Amino acid sequence: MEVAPRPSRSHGSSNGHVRRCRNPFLEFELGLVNRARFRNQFLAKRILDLALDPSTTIQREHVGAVNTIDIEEAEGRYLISGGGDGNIHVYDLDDSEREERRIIKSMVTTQGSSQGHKGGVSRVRWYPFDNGMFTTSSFDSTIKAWDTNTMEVACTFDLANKVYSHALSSKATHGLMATASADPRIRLCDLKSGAFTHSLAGHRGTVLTVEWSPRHEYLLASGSTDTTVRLWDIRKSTSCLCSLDLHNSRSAPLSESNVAHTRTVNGLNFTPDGLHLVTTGHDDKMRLWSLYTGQNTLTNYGTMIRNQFVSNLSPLISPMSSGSPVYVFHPSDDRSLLMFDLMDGSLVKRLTGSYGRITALAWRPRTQEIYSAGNDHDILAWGPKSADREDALRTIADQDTWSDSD
Amino acid sequence: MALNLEARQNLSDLIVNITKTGDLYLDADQVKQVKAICKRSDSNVKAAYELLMIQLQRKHAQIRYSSTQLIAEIFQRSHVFRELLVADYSIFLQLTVGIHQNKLPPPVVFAEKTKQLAISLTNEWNAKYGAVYKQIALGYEFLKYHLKVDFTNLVPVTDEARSAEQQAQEGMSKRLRRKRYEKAAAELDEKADDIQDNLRKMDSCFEILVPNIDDEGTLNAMFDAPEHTVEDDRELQQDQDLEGEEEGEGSNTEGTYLQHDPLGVRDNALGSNRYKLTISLDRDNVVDVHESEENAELFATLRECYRLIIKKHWPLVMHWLDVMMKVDQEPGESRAEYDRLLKLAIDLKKGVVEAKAKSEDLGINMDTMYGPHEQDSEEDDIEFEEVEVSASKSDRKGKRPKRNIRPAQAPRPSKNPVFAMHGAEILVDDPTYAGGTRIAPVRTVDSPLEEKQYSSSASGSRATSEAPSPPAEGGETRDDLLARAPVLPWDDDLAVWDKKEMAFNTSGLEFSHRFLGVGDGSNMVSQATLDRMKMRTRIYNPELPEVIKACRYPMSNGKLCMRRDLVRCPYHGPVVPRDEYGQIQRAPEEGGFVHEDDMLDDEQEADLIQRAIHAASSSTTSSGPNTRSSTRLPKSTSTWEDIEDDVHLALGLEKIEPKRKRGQGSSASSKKKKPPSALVNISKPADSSRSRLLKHMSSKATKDSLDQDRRGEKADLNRDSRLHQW
Repeated sequence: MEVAPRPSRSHGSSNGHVRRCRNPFLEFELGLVNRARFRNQFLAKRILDLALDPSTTIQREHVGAVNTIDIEEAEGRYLISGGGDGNIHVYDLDDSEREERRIIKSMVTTQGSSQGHKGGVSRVRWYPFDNGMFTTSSFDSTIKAWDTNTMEVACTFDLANKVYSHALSSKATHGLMATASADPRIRLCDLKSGAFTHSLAGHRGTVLTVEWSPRHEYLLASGSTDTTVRLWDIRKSTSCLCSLDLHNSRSAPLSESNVAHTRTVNGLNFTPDGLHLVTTGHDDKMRLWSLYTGQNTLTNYGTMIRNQFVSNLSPLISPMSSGSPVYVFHPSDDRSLLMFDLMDGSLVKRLTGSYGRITALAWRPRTQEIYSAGNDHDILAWGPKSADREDALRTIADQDTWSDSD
Repeated sequence: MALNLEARQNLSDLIVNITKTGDLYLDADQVKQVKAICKRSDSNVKAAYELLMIQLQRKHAQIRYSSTQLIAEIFQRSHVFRELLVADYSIFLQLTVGIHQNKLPPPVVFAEKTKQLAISLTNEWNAKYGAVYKQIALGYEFLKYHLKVDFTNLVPVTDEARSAEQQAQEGMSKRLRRKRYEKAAAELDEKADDIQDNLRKMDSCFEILVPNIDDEGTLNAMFDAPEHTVEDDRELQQDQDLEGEEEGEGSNTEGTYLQHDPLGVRDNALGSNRYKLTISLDRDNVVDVHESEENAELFATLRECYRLIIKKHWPLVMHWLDVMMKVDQEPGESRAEYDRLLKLAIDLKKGVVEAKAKSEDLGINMDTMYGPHEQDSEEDDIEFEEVEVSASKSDRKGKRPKRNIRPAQAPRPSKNPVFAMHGAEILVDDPTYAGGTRIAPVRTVDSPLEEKQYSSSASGSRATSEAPSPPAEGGETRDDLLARAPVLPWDDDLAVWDKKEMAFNTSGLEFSHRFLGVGDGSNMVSQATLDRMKMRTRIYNPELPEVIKACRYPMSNGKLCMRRDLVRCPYHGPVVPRDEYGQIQRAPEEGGFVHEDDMLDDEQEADLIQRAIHAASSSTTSSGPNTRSSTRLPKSTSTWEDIEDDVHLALGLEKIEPKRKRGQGSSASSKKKKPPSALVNISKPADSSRSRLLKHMSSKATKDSLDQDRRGEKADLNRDSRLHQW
C-alpha cells in the first residue's frame, strides 16, 4: 500500500525539495496533504501493520478460557474480560503505558465475590454511554448489571435458560437489553425498571447472537441455530421484519425457506455505519448483507475460516473512514486471526501467534489495537508494528549471523 | 531464475538427505552446504524453510528430530528464517512437542528426543529472542502453564547457550580457585612460622645426632686424623657406615665404629694395614646413629616432629602449593604478594622434604613411633593404629631398623604361583588371597586346546614363573619343577586337589544343628565327597565343519552320488576324494578310514560335526533351504544353493537364479546404491506379544484344533444330555 501521500502537482512544481520528501508527518506539517486524508492514510497503514505486540503483556488472571472481552467506548481505556471460570476482570490498558514493556494487570475482579456468576461468563458489555456500568451474561442463565466503581451487582435478570449473548444499543435512549439464550424467544430487559418488557418470537432454535443496529434505534439483528438471521423492529407487534436469505430468492421476507447460512449462525455484527451486516456460521462462511435491500452481497471471503464451536463469535469490523478500505477480523478455530477486506472479501492478512482458539475480539480505537481473548486463558494484544521504535533487542534479532565458514 | 531453481533443487536434495538419514547427529558437511546456500539469498532461506516444514510434518519422529536440529541451526543464523518460523511457531510446537492434542509419531524414543530438543530450543530462544518475538515467549508460557513443562535443568542445545554455560562454569571455578587461594594464603601466613619452628627444632636435633661432615673441623675431630686426601665427602659418609663381615644381616656389635675405621688400624693394634678387609654397607641404616639411653630424648623429640610433619605439615604444604599453582594470577599489585607466598611455600616444602628424608635416614618413620628407651605407657594410643598406611610406604625403602621390627602382618604373596589365575594381579590386593595354592609341581601337559583357549592365563603364568625363586626341597630346583608344572585354568577343584582329608569345620567352634544337635561322627569330609570335589566340570564345545563333501560315487545312471555324509556314505562306503568322473584319486589307506589328500583341518572337521548335529536336531532336514538359511549366516545360504546347483547340474537342469526383490530388473540396475539410512521402519507392525498371539490364533492349525475341541465338547454335551434321559 502506498503510504506516503502524493504531493499535489502545484506544490511540487514550486518547491522541488519538498516533493522529494517522503515523510508523511513533514508533508502534513507543511500542509501538503489535508488533514482527513492524512489521518485516514495513517490509520490504514497502522491497521495493515497489525501484528502481535511483543511489548504488551496482559497478565493471565483467568484459570479457564477467556470467553469474552470488551473495551469501553467512552475513554477506550478499560478492558473487561469474562472467563469460563465465572470471573470478571477489569484491566486498565493505560497501565504502564510509558514503559518499554507494558504489563497490564487486573485492576478489579469479581473473583471471590459472592455476587459473581456461578457459571461461565458468555458475554460482557460495557454500558455504551459511560464506563460506570457493565453487563454480563452467563451460562448460569442470568444477566447481571454491575456498578463498576463498587464492583457490585446493580440488577440481575434471570432468564431460566443458558444465555449466550446480550446487547445494549449504543444509539438508543430506550435502555433495552436484548438477550440471546437457549430459549428461541429474544427477551428484552429494561435496565431502567429491571424487568422484562417483551419477547420477540420467531426463531426456532437457540439464539446465539444478537446485536443492535448503530443506525436505527429500534432495529435488532439476531442469529440462531435454526440457520436464520432475523431483523426485528421492536416497536411493531409482529416484530420480525425479515429473515435474511442467502440465495436472494424472491420469496417473502418471512418465508420459512429463507436461511442465512446452511448451518448454525453464531456471530453477527453491524458495520459502524449500520448499512451492512456481517454474519458468520458453522458452515465456515462469513456473509455480508446489505441492510438497504436485505440482500446477500455475495462477497466471497474464501475458505480459510474455521468456525465450529457453539458459542458467540462476533467478527470485528475496523472503524470506517472515507477513502480507505474497511477490514473485518474473523477469529478462526485454527488459532489464527483472519483479516479480510470487508467489501471485496480478499484475505489481507493471517495473524498467527495465539496458542489458543480466539474466542472474542475487541477494538481499541485510540491506538488501533486489537485485543483477543483465547481459550488458553490468555488475552493478547495486537498492535501496529511500530517501525520507528529503535529497540536494541529488535536490532539484535534483525541481524543475520552467518559465520564466515559457511 | 535458473540459478534459483538449481539452488532450490540442491537445497531440497540436501535437506531430504540430511533428514532421512535418521542419525542422531547431523552430517556437518551437509549442514554447512545448506547454510552456504541459505546465506546466498533470502529466497533460498524461504525455500529452505518451506522444505523443512514439509519434512517436519512427516509422520516419522526421526525425520522430525533431524529437521528440528537443522531448523535450530538455521534459526540461529538467519533473520528471515526466524521471522518465518516465529509466525508458525505454534505449528512448530505442534509438530515437535505435540501441543494442541497432536501426537508425535513413532518411534517413541525419537519422539521423546524431539520433544526435549524443542523444549530446550524454546527455552533458549525465549531467553534470547523472547522480548522481540512474542510468539516464542507465548509458546514458552504455553508450555510452562499448560503443559507444565519444567524448564530448569535443561541441557543447552544451541552453541551460544552451550558456550554461555561453559563460561559461567569457568567463571565459577575461577572464583572458587580464587577463594581457595585466598584461604590458603591466609593459612600459609599463619602456619608458616609453626612449620619453620618445627623444622628448626628437627635441624638442631640432627645437628646433635649426626656430625656435620661438611664441616672440616668436625671431621678432623671425628677421625682424629690430620688430613684426608683421596675420598670425597660422599665416600666419607659411607665410610661411617662400615659394617661387620656378616652378609646382609649386619648386627651392630659394640665397637664396630672403631673396628671399621680404616684409619684406626694402627690404633687398634693391627700392626699392619695390609690385612684384607671386607667392607659392606648396611642399607638399612645409612647413618650409623643408634638410639641409646643418652639420645633417647632427642629421638623422642624427632619422632614427635616427624609425626607432625607427616601428618600435618606435609599435606598442608602440598595443598597450598596445589592451590597456588592452579589459581590464575593476573599481573598486578597482588602479583608480588603471590610470588612471595609461592616462594615461601616452596621453601617450606623443601624444608619439610629434607627433614623427612633425614629423619627417615635416622630410622624414624611412622612404624617406629616409640623407641626402645621410651615408656610404653602410651601403647594403647589410638593413633598408633593409623600408622599402617605410611608404614608400607617407608617399608619399600627398606629402612626398617632391626630392633623395632614388628612381625609383618600383611599376607606374604606366594613366590611360586604354580597355578596362575586370571587377574591374579588384582587379587594381590585382596587380603583373603593367598597367592594361589602351592603344590609340588607336576609335569606340564601341553594341550593344544587349552593352549589356545587359555593362552592369556598361560602367558600370564609364564610371566610370573620367570621370577627368581628359592630352591625347592627334594633335589630338583624350583625352575625344573615349574617347567613341568601343568598350567590349568582356575576351578574349585584346585583348592582341594592335594588334600587327603579335609575337615569341614575349621573354625574351632562347635556348631550344632538346630534339630539334630551336635553330630557325633568325625569332623571330616567323607572320602567320596572329597573325590567329587576334586572333579572338574568341562564343557565340550566342538567346532563343526562348514562344508561337507559330496560322496560323488559314480552311479549306474552316469551321475555322481550327491549324498553328503561326514565320514561314510551308507550306499557307497567311506567318502573319499574323487575326480570329476568319480574316480578315486588315491587308493584308500588301510583301516578303511580314508582321509583326503588335503586333510580336513580342524576347522573343517569341526564344521562337519556341527552340520551333523544340526541335521540331527532339526526335524526338517530334507526341506533344507528355508530352515537352514534362517538359522545360518549368508555363507550357509550359499551352501544350500551349492547343493541345489549340484543337484540341478546332475539332473541337467538350469541353474536357478535367486529372485531379486524387485523382480525382473537386471542385477546391475537393481543394485542401485542407496545411502544407508538409520530410519526405523514404522510401517512394520510392532512385534508385540499381542500380535504374536493374534497370529497364532489366526493360524489354520489353531483354528482346526479349536473346531475339533468344540465338536468334542458338543459331542460330550449330547452324550451327557442323553445320559439324563431316563
